[in-house]
Amino acid sequence: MGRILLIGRLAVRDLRRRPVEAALLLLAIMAATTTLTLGLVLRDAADDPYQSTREATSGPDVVAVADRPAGLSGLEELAGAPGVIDHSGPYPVAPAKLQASGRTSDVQAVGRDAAPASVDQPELTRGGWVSEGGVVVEAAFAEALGLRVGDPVTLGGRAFEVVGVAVTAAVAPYPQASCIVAVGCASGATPEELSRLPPGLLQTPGLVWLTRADARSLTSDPGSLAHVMNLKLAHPDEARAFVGAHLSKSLDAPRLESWETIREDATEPAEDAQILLRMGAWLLGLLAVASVSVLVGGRMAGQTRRVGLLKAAGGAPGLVAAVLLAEYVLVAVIAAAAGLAVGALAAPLLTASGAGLIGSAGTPSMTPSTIGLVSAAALGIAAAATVVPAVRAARSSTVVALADSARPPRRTGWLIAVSARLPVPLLLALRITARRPRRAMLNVASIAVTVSGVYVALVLDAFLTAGPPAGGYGDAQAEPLRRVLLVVMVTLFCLAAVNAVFITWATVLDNRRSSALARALGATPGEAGAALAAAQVLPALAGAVAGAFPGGFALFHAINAVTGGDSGRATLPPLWQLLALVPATVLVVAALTAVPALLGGRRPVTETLQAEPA
Amino acid sequence: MWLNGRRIDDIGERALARMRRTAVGFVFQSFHLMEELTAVENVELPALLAGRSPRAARRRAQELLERVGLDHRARFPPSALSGGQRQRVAVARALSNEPSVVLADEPTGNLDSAATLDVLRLFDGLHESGQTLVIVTHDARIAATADRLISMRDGAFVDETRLTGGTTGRLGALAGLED
Repeated sequence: MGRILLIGRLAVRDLRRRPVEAALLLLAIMAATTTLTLGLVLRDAADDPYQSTREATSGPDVVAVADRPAGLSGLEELAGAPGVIDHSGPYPVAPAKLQASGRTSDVQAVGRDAAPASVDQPELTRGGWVSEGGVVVEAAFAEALGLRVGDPVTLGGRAFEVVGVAVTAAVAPYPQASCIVAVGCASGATPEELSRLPPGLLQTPGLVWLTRADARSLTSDPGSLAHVMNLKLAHPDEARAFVGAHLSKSLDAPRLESWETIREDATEPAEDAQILLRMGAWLLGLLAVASVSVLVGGRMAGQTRRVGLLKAAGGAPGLVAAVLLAEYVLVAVIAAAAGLAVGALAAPLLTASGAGLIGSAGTPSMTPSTIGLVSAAALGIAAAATVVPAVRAARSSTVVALADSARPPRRTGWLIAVSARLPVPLLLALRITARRPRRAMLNVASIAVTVSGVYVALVLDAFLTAGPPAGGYGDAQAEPLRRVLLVVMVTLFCLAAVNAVFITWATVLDNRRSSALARALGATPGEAGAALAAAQVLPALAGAVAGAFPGGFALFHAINAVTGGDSGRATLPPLWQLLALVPATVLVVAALTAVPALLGGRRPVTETLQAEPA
Repeated sequence: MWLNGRRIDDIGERALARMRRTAVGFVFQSFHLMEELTAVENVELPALLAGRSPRAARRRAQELLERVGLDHRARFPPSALSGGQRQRVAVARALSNEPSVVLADEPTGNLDSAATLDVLRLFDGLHESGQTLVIVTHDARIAATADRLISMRDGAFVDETRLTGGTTGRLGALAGLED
């Protein structure tokens, strides 16, 4: 117990001795834990609006669709099947084209009774229910088309008036709507894919409700009508099993869909937002490891004498390593708690229910698994960055540590030989880079991760901007995803910027003596400052190239592999964007590092050489 | 403060850098060699900073190392050299750009007697060849080897003595380092 107290006390004292570094460490880890929390809680939070809609509309547990008139008998059998306690329909469904405000869209027109149904009675958000010549439009579809109550529309060549806007839990909101017409649907297909599909398919259809008579009037061939029936089960949790038990290979047999499947479709945008956040959490986690490694490296270098004192006072290597690790574990625990709190508070801002569902996103649930995963990630980041330097410090010689000897720089002979042919700033920059190859690699990795994130953001932005049918999302669905993407990218940029400044400052401190010496031997302050800045820009260039070309592409395909996405539907960034990304990254890094580098290049030579050991 | 007929205590950093490249060579008490560079790479650095070609800088560095008796140690890093050898490398580095004056700040302060003697002999040779050396030292025995001795106290000149005819060839004896 005494030993643990001692370790805790020493760790807290050292953190309080350097509050700015401790705060930066905390921020770096917190950025990753917050994003991870958002990713984990979003799924649960996004389910709430569907549940609210299901309750408000007396949503069905199973939706059955008969594509042919011969399937109507199958629907009647299902209505009487064991476990079914209620049903509505069958209702006729006709494929049609809807024209409004100069736009034409495919729709699935469902013929409904004017009287309310006991199962799936769409909840009106505006206006009234179906009447002769009056059409009710599904809310997400109405929003995508900008339709309001009272607007005139043409449906199958006939004039109608929008009499209401409603939500339902029987079909996922536009553009995720399930296909309930006989001719079939192609949702989210690219123009190239559409050209290969049979003609007559509805492209990303919307959903409208009419009277039964109006729906039947949309087609001259009654045999082309499909019929849909909504079933209520005694045990809704067994909906999937019910669907499995009534599967049939017959073409005339009804197609069945459980409410869980509809919910998955309805919450797909939220699921995509969750994927975005998890991707962001991974990228931020990698950046956080780089940030923490640089910070820890800097702190460890400053703690050499402290390690020597601890050892001289009788501390065993194990105690020394434990003290050093305890500091970062403590920061990681605080960062995990802060990340969980901020993530839980921010999640509702990113989970708007969308036009197709009612109710708010609700309070995200903070499950033990979320808390465990976020804490493990924070501790993992701290451990990954700390274990090696802590063990190295613990195993160092007491005498050497007490003398506070600087860690000798690395020698990279070929780089020194190559640099001799370059102008003075580049000569010094290459030698600075070669002195600390691990830090240079962290710099390259940090920039490559950020640029890879930008690559994926460019792909996703193009995907979201394309809109249906290419993108598969309407503006209403794309907006929350754009918000999530913005949050992830802003956090990524902030952490990358902090990283660049950290690394530059660590380089400046580490090269105080060599910069001063170069100036004593004839380099100007400008050349010394330019060398320090160039020492950051060279890895930034390598990182930008690695991130823009193989890195971004690989990350995008890795995300697709993990999420089961279809990369064929995405448009990769054009070459000019990638080529522009490289100099833009280098310029940003140069701007970020210029101030600390120039300050480093102007330190007084005499003072530095007198203060720094040879 | 004047150097080569030009006042230098009021010039800018850029001009000072140019002056350091061309007119002044430095030798420090604690050597200040770059640990990651070999002896020859350390010596050629001022020439590279002055814009000489890599080939010319390397040739000059090798000549200087030969002159200080370390040509056989040219490829060794400073950590593999003794204190005296490191200081001789530092002296060679100071001569890289053929400066008008070499400023040596306590050049023997970190050396044992044998290494001090080595460095003093080197300085003697340089002096004989016409190189101006300004040595800062607290050691009266080292000070006694100079032609001109300026004493300072609390940052101010207090005395100047000219010592002529007697140092050459007898440095060690004068410094009390040999019989």
